[in-house]
Amino acid sequence: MARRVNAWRWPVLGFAALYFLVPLAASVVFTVDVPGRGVTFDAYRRIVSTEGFTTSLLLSLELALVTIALVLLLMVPAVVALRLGAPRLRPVVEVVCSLPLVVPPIAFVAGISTVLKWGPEHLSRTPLFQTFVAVQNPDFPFVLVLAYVVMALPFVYRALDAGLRAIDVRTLVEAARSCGAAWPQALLRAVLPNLRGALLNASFLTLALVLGEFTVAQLLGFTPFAVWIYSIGGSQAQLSVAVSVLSLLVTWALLLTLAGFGGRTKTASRG
Amino acid sequence: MTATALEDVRTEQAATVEFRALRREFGQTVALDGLDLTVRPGEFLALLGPSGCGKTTALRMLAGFEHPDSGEVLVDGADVTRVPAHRRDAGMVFQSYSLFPHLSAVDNVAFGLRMRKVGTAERRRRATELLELVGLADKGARYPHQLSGGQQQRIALARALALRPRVLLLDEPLSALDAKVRLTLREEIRRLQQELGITTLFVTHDQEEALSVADRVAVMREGRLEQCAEPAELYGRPATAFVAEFVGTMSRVPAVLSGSTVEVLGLRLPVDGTPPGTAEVDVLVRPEGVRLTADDGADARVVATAFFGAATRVTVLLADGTEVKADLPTHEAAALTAGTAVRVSLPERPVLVAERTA
Ligand SMILES: Nc1ncnc2c1ncn2[C@@H]1O[C@H](COP(=O)(O)OP(=O)(O)OP(=O)(O)O)[C@@H](O)[C@H]1O
Ligand SMILES: [Mg+2]
Repeated sequence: MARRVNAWRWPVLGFAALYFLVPLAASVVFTVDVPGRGVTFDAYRRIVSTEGFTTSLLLSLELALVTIALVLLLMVPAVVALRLGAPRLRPVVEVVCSLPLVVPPIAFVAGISTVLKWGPEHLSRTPLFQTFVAVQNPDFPFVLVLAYVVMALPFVYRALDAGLRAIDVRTLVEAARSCGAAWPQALLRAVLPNLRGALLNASFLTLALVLGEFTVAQLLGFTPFAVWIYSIGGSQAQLSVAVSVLSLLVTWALLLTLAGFGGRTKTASRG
Repeated sequence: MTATALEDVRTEQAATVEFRALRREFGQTVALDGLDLTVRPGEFLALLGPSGCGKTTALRMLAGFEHPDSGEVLVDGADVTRVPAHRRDAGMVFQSYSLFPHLSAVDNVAFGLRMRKVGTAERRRRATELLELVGLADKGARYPHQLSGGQQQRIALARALALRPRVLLLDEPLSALDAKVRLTLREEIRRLQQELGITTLFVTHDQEEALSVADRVAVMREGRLEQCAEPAELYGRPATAFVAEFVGTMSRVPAVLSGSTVEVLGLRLPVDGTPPGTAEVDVLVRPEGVRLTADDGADARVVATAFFGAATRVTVLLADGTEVKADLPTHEAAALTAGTAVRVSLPERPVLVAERTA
């Protein structure tokens, strides 16, 4: 039985690799091999030198970092409290956290823009008016962070829940408390380190989500990386393919960095 | 083990623990129903009882993880009900494996010292000594997933002892281990406890475990204390029928009470303790106190035999349908196969009597 599984493994892997790698390789070849001029990285050079490359990429990164921080600060205490204090509320929270999957981004963004329009009109004479202006600051549109936090909820909840399922939170907390740790210390020193994988997963998914998110940002009129890359690629075939290859590479590079970071802290804490 | 290691871990002064009228309800279930119990300084007390009788709840109240609805928990006469768990000075070993998976064995043991802000060097030294104490000095660098269940529980024991607690709480620490490891580890826990002289509460539902290691055994039933006594007394002179049947094996033989003697199996025997008010009673007999002789004229029949090694337990059905268990030396029991007619008798000694239940 085991041998048959082994025998199947390679063809399946090969097929999957073909399925993913052939289009990728074809795209890369298409962008670098210009007929008559041989291999050239012109298309990529043009992208990088186009106005807005750095600013949009940085904006996306900032948005991703703030979103990750916010969503984890919100969800980690929530799911741990749920486990320890009110396990019966779990289905409720699960459903609430899954709602963003059901609501299409178009509907979501329509709701947000309605609020953004309605708010300043009705609150023009209150301090809240300034808040509405501030969250739409094009240098750092905090409203996108709020939207992304909501959109990341299902993934983050699932990642954390899977992580918590693998450990016995109650016993770990009680063991820590009987060793003289107060509540916050018990959570910080006994529970969180064992959730490292789950936290990393959640950050991963959130990062990928924010980097690739297009609909909400475009419709609200901001230009993070995904929107920018779309806006410059539109007219030329070669450039637009180069753009998608590049965005793929950027995302991969960031995810690998995150993974490397996670791996390093792991060995560091063990040493 | 070195002498200094012991000096470092030994508690300064063993504590007295008292539970007073502890009551705790979880919705409909009453987990503790007025538990009264005193643990003497330096004593190894086993809490024994059937599943769900409130043993864990009582222990968790002493540890500070559970709060009583009423009643109090006293340590050396001071009420600790309001002291949070991390200041209770109670080391605890849990039933499930509870080591911190992200820390090595030595860091697990040192966890409490770290919480108390003990310096790194001192921490390492103390943790190493404790590992030595539980016989795992060479496994300090291992992570919990690289250790066997028995080794994990030893590390957990070392971790519980690291802060020199006033009381040591063990909640069925051996129940997840296989029989052989269970046996050696319980002896080791006992040895350590005696060397350290630490007041210890040991929860178990295994009566053999309780009787073999504890100074005294407290039998609980439905949230109350049934009897608390030394193992020999608990076994030989159980205060109630529940204790008699829970601790060790007991057979009930119908009998008729008259005055202070009882008529059973054709014998007239004195009653041990105060007899109950009714005439219809059961005599409680231990399997080692029952005698069997093969006798073709007798109306009791052997229905089953179970080989225990040196002894064999023979189950006999009396004429009136009562089952009696008897332990015989294996060589004597060889002739008593199922279906053999036997005569059942008791030694001429005072017997325990309980009201008839069925
Ligand atoms: N947190 C809780 N919520 C609801 N009921 C509980 C809780 N803890 C204990 N109980 C109930 O209280 C009773 C006593 O539980 P406890 O765990 O003290 O029993 P135990 O003697 O330790 O049993 P076991 O030998 O099975 O461990 C049980 O009926 C149990 O179902
Ligand atoms: Mg229990």
